[in-house]
Amino acid sequence: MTEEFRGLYGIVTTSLGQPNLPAVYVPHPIVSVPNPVMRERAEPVMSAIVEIATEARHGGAGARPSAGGTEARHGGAGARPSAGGFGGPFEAPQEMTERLTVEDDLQAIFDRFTSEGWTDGLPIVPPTPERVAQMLAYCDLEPSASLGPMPPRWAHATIAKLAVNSVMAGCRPEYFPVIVTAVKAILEKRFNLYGIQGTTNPATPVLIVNGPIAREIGINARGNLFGPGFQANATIGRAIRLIMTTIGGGVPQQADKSTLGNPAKYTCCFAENEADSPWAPLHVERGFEAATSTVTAFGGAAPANIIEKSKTAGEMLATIARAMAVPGSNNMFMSQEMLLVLGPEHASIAARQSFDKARVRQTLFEHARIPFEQMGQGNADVLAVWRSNCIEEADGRRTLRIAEKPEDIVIVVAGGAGNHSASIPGWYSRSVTLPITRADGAPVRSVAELTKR
Amino acid sequence: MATIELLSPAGGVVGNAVPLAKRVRALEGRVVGLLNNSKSGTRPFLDRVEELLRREHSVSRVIRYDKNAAALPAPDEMLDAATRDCDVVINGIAD
Repeated sequence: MTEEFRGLYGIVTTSLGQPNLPAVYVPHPIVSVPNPVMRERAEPVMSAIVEIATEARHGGAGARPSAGGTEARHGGAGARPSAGGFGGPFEAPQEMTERLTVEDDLQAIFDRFTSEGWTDGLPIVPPTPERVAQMLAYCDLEPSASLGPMPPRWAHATIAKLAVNSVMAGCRPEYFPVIVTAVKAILEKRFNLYGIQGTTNPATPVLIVNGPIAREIGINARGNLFGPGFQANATIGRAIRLIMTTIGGGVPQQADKSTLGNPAKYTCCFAENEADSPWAPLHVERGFEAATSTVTAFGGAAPANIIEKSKTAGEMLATIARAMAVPGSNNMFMSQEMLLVLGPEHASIAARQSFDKARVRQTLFEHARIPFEQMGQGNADVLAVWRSNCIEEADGRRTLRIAEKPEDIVIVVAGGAGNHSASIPGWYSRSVTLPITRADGAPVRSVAELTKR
Repeated sequence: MATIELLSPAGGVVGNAVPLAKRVRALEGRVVGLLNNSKSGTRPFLDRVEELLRREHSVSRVIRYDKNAAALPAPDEMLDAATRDCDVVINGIAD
């Protein structure tokens, strides 16, 4: 790996119980340098690679940086943590959560939490035991119960820790069932949270809430839904980011290696505008009853607005498809799925002309292509490896489809009045939709069903 | 100074210990796997590593494994094959 990734590597190896696991580092970058330079970089590190791969360094005392840039201390490379991932070697959490004694002053509390790396840079609500208890009242799981270890630090996402972070984010207690469900979703393997936390990409969890609970707790599905002004949207998304930071260890510039980040990494949570949609909502498409409430976690980049003023579905969808197939976007390189947030006015234009969601998806799939002449040779070389099954050749012209199949285009209807929709390019991540349930797995119709009172 | 009691948000990392693969004494005569995470630049780097392993370290064989997505875990089948067929695997990770 390159020098730039030492920090992330150290966090991961430490949490795997191998803080001194040696590695060989080469100068950063590697992607943008010519191939002959990369060949040359192998030579000075070769002896270090061989030492790490053999017993040569077993029993060696202390760090011995060499010309090759190794940090070897004792032998170790290539261990496979456990079959199929990192599920095996983690012990159960011991205690609910430790207590801190801090000067009773809002600024002092904020300073302390910020210095610990526990905030997103914005002020927090102090997590007193009383406030945390109010949050926990909306969950029928034990506070010590863990939803699993969270990458890349692999600390346990216990219900108690989720509640502390939710208080800090400014959540009302009735939001907590959405947060618990969202954390279950991002911890599913197919979501690839490990990748999202560490990548140089701006990808982040985008949360879509469906069903009656979205309305019950006031998650905005209408105007300005990606913008400010709505406590549930703002604080639920923020709680997830704080959880990813304080539990998962995704500390910016250390484990979170995003080159630029993205404002949606502070918070990104909204509800589908089911009332104004002409079609079945996302959770019903995915097999849930309309009366069940769900949280969908989608790993994606920032929303890119699409203004579209056509009066026919065909013209409108052709433009939207082109806006989703932009050279240089995640949709060109790596979106396993892509999200289209269709404004209600755009959805109604399509519906008036008898387009159902499947036909919209199929139309977008056909039109959303990037011609190879719009990308350089370097990109074409990478795409030949990363997206070989999306490359098509017809009439001597090569194009790249942005999706492997129409079903990979996820569509929700949301927003207020106006001719706007938004494309949220995906990443190496598959969206996960989970119902909000009791501990026994039964869906709840209201968050009040989860209270312990 | 008045104080207040608060709860820590930080998750504890508890006693994880992943065992390391057993080392070989030397690479001579061994089968070495090179796992490429598919970042641009990794291939020419590993091409040169392979040449040097053959020429200067007399490995018996080099097996190349190429992921097709840098940010996804190596498929289980690839890891199973590498575990079965190689004495040592050198893995290029991250950037």
